[in-house]
Amino acid sequence: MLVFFSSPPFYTENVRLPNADTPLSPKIRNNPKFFPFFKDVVGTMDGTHLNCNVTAEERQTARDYKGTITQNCLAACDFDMRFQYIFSGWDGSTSDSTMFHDACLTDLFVLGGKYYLADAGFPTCESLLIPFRGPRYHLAEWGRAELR
Amino acid sequence: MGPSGITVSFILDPDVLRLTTTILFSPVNAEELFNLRHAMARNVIERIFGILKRRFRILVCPPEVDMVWQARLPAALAAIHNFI
Repeated sequence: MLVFFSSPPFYTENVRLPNADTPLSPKIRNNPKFFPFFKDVVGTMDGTHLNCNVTAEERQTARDYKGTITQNCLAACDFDMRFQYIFSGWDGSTSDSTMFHDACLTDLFVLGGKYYLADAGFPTCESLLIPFRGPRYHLAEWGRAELR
Repeated sequence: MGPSGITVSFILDPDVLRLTTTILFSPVNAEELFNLRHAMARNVIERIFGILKRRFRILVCPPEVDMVWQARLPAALAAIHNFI
């Protein structure tokens, strides 16, 4: 079962990267807050931690920043909530940028001129658009902090 | 009366509260506005992770099998998620 779902043809049929004639998502195109500014975006990318059971030797590297034993998983999805890419199996202690670098070397291919939205843990490069680091970021949380 | 002499009922007034939050939450320069829009566009991936973990509880309570199989699990479940 697992082999069937995670290997071609089923996997490649359902989880695939966008190609050159994939249109811009209507969620971006029809929203005036996004459209002219994010016009070359193809999706968003982030890493997540998933719990796992590992052997005693591997346990130290699998411990993440919260102290739990996890595997790290890099995923890219489009704005219609469909996965475009998934890259799993890294140790929990790995950073997002390391995973992204390895994914680029393996099989992640971003079209020229296009980019993914990623958070501040990712490297600055042509295929990723990351937020500014200096300014306030999660404004809602800053607002709550000042109210306290 | 509150510590600064303002009545508590004034602070808790819904209109005042809404005004306060609007002022505090709104971005003050171009970079903050960019970051706000960026985060708004990016929340889709945080939602999809939430859906995946709620829908497939095996990701929260992992099976005790070899790591090779556990590493293939997210890929398989993502494919099933897209298929559904």
